[in-house]
Amino acid sequence: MQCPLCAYEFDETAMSCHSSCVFNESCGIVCCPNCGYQLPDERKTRVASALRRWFTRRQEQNEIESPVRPLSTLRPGQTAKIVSIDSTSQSRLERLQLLGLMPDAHITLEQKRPAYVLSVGFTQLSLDTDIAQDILVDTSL
Amino acid sequence: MNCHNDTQTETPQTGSILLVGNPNVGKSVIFGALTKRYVTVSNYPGTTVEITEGTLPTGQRIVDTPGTNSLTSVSDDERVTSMVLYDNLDELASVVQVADAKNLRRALFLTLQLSELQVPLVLNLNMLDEAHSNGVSIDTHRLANRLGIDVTTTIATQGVGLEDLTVAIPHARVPHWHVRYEPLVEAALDEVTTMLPPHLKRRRALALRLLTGDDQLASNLQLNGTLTAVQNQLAQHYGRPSRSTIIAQQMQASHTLLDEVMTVSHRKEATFSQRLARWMIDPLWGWPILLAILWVIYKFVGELGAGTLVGFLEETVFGQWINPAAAHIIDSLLPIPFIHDLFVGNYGIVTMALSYGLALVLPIVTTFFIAFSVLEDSGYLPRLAIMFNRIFKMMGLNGKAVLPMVLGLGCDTMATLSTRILETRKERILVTLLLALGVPCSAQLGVILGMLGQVGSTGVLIWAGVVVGTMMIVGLLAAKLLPGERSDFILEMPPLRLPRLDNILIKTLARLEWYLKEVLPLFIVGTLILFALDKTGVLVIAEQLASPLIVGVLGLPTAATGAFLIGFLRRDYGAAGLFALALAGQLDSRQIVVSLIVITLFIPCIANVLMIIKEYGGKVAAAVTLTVFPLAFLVGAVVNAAMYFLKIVP
Repeated sequence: MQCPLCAYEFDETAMSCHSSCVFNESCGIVCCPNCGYQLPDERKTRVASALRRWFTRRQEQNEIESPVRPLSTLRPGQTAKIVSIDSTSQSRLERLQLLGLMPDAHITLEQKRPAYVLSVGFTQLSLDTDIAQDILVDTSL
Repeated sequence: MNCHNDTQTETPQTGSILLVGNPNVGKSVIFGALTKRYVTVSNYPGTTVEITEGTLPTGQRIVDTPGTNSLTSVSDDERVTSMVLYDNLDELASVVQVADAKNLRRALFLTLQLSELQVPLVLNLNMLDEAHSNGVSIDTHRLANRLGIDVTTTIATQGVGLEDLTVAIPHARVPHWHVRYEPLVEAALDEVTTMLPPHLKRRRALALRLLTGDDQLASNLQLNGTLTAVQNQLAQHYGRPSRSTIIAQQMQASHTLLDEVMTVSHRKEATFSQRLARWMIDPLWGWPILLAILWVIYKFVGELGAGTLVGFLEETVFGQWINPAAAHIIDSLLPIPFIHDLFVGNYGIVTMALSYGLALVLPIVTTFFIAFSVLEDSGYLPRLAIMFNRIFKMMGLNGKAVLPMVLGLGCDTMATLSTRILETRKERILVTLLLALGVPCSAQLGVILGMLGQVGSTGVLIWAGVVVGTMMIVGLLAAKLLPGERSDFILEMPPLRLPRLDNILIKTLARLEWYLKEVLPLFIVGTLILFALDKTGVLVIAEQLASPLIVGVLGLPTAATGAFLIGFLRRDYGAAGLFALALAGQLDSRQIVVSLIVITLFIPCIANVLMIIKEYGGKVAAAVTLTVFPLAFLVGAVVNAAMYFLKIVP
């Protein structure tokens, strides 16, 4: 990275400053070896990494344009056709099938939080995130 | 409640009628209307594992089965229906299939499976009003023609169309709807049919059952080996088990028929109840709605039930009328001090058992049962499961676990039985433990709410925080310690419905009957035990022995010992004892909070332990009991010390 104060280039992961310091590995501050300027290490603070994930996910969601994608990438209110359900659990597949979730079925994603809710015909179901990730849908209706 | 084994004794005799349908199609309401006999209607898929039967006005027997989506299901709660059906195929007069008209897609799949069984059938499309308001119209004549059976329509909750259904039942016919499977499947069916012993009837249906993996049947017919070969052949060709190939083709066939008979016009504007239903599971608005519902329940149960009604019954009815009258009668009939004490003494049957049971607890459970029946019939409970899914996930459970937990607020023992709806043993045992630990039952909850009314909101928050916190921590730890997996969270949501007053009244009365029959006698037994302990002087010794713990560690008065002793029998009874102490002004606010925490974390009652032994064996029951009691006192001691040293006065 580059020090924002003196523009000195250094590798923050290789830094072994203050080896006697009690914080040592878990210290969330990076010091520029050139000028000593202190700045927070984003990778080590929970708040920063959570925010970073949040922003990047937003971007990713906008970037996905491929019509065939996991159900979990749909926006609430979107309608799509199921392409395949990828699961090794036969009993899960069968339960979904009996409720109407199977290839070629048209589904509408109602909401994603606190759990996935979708409607198939006039049946409303709620699913866990991990199941929704295994369902591939086609949005080009 | 029946276990699955019991269904054998309750199966229909010659000429009976079987009521079959998907979950939440109003089957039970139709059953009630046809028989004038009530059954419990519950909105949560799979809670009525009971088989209920009644008699038609014609004298014919009619049997209600649990809602099922498939006759080839392998899951426990859905298998009951097919078991009843298969066991009685030859004696059945007819099958009445009840369908949710707007969900005809799923109903037809079941119709198809029934057609394959070659049973006389009537298809009844219920909830026609909901279908119409959703823009769904169904060509029933065409459907009847294609199936070759009578198709009737009803709005059971309003009593519309029930006469037509009654008329149609005797005319039930075997449907002439036959699925042509793909050639390879047909060939496999033929092959299996030839393997069957020659005397068997309904050979094609049997072959289908065998190919869809009815292992029980296969081993009964000693076909396992040869059958597996055919199944494997199909599996190889289609790249998935023969079972799912057949189900998929049956689905396909029912969809083809559906497209012929059902038309959907534009979806109408979302109704208020649909919008409300959506808000209830909104990540943001769901919580205020939940809080509002809890607040209404608290007002109704905590204030009207535990406050106003308890006050009237306890102080006026028992305090001024019954107790003095009983004392007078006993003293004039049998003026013996022992008899006097037995009935109207400190631990008397009238003054303690009946006044606790009828004046303190009865009004509370009555109001709670009313509130719970409303919740149950409205369809809110599955939505609650969605809201709590994430929290329960942390504890190695999923949202479905919320149902036994909420049921536990009614009765922990019944809730322990209902842990069967959870799919893995790990989940069942976890929920059983949490129920035994921290979910107060209606009787106890009411008493607790009444006592909490005497301390400020700080006290309420401390009590709730500590109990919920303890459950969370125990849940997290137990989830790590117990081996096993969490099951899939796949939950069907019934639409929100306005509960019917008669259903609620009947349900509440049925539950009250249970309370008076099962719980009140235990109160009397408990009082007799306390009475005996008191008379023999054991109570004083026990109080002295326990006083270092009760007085020293928990900071409670010696008199509370009796309440905890009896809490071993039923914790609501113990709570009632504490309530009586609090009403008498013998507990200060800190003592109220500490004693409430300890008694809330107690094992609910002897019946609950017996239920755990019955369901999961003595080892699990012992482990649960030995975790819960020490933990209850430990948490109480910690809270007491914390409040003492931090000088928190609730």
